[in-house]
Amino acid sequence: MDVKAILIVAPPAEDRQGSSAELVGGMPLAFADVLGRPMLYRIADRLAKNGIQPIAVISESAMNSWPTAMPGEAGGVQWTQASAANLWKAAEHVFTEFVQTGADAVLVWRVGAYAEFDVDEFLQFHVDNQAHVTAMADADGAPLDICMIAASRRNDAAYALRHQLHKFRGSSATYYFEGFCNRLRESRDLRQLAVDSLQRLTDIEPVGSEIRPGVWLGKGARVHRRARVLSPAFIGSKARVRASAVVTRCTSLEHHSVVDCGTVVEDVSVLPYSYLGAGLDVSHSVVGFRRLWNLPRSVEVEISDAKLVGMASTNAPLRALASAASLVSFVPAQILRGLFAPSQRGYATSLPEAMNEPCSALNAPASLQASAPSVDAGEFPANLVAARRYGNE
Amino acid sequence: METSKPVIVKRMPDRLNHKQARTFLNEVQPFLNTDRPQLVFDCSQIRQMDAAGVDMLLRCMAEVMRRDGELKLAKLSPQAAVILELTRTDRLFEIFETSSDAVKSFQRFLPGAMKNLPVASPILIKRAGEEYYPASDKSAA
Repeated sequence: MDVKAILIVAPPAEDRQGSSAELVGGMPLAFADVLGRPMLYRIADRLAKNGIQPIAVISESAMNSWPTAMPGEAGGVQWTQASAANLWKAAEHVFTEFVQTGADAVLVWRVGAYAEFDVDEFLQFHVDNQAHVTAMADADGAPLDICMIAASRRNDAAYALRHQLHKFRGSSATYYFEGFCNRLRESRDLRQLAVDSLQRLTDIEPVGSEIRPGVWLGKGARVHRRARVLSPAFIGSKARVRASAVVTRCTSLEHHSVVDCGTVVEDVSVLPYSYLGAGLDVSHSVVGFRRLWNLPRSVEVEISDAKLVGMASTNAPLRALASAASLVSFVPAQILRGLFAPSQRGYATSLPEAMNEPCSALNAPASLQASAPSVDAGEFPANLVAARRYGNE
Repeated sequence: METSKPVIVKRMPDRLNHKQARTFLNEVQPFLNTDRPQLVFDCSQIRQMDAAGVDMLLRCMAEVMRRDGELKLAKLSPQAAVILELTRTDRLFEIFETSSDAVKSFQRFLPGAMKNLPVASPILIKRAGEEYYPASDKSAA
């Protein structure tokens, strides 16, 4: 049976319950990398492995237009770009093309949710029920925006696509799927998918080699010998973990990301080309696009200070140039700082000096002087000073 | 006689970048220069904060501690809380849910509150070149 697929990268229908924009930093979650490969390509790979070819992707923007895209990466898909208003109309055109090239059924998937269903089983259910359209729903009955449409039913397909896979006409069936599913509605779901994948609860394979049990290293990734990477963790291609950094608890560092010296990264998804500054403590978050999504607090924080969270250039020569410039400017900056910056040291350097130096708190403040006459000199030794931290007199 | 020093509550601006941090520091400088300053920074308005803002907070903290005072933070906005946690500075400050909680916390350790506490060991205070003297209950109170 000839089955083809259409993947649509579009926001969910507005009237759908619990719907959200499905974006991370303005980018569709479908384009976000999970353990070294964008979700959209992972879905396409999975379909291709099940013998579904060709796979058409319809989206508003191409994958390469986003700064997180890995250069030269391709998902073996036919890409069609359309404006937001015409996305579903473009899907109708692609459906018609597929029918004309001899497809028996077309799988239409709004990405959307990620579900690890058995394509053969879904197809068999569709054929057995002799339905024109078979929609997939999770165990609770919530639709997943995945449909199998009979190629001979062009009008039914058009109706379903015009209603964004939300309404169907004619005979339709519902296939209840009980396997692994992540709805990918927000950054929290992206994080959860990375955690589940690192814990091997999904079929998603990290892109890289497993250097230790549970630690995957992408091609060209560099981990300083004094950095610690605790399992499970993923470090994407050309990512860098600098000295004394700690990467732990299902953290995934996507390609070209940098964790600077001494930073602790715990339970974090770091999106491609992100830079985490030195000496930070980043936990339970998704970081990227100069933003940080803190999951326990459910808050998105925009960070304009590149010392804390930055974004490297996607252009390799520019990145090399920036590294060289920072290296060259480091020594003169340190010399200038040493010469002109005011000394922060306000205390004695040697121990005997420090012992003889009176406490700064006892530098005869006005209130202490005023209270002095009230002290009975006969009972209170003259050479004894009582200092009480919270005293007011 | 026991008197309570005033606690100064200062609301922080919504953005704390280099420029705003400097302006804020200039505003609070007179309070920092007093004897044993008691300050509360209300952080409810903060929406954006960078390293300069954190540095300013640490400067204020250092200045206050040098004068044996206290600086507390109150009503942290989620954004401020995230940045303080990110830069590991949250553990340096006492943080309260509301400004009034922070103000009340200053009054918990007034001399009167210490009167009924048993003295486990005498307080030994030394001046240069002198012997240690025990500070008796009577003199300490």
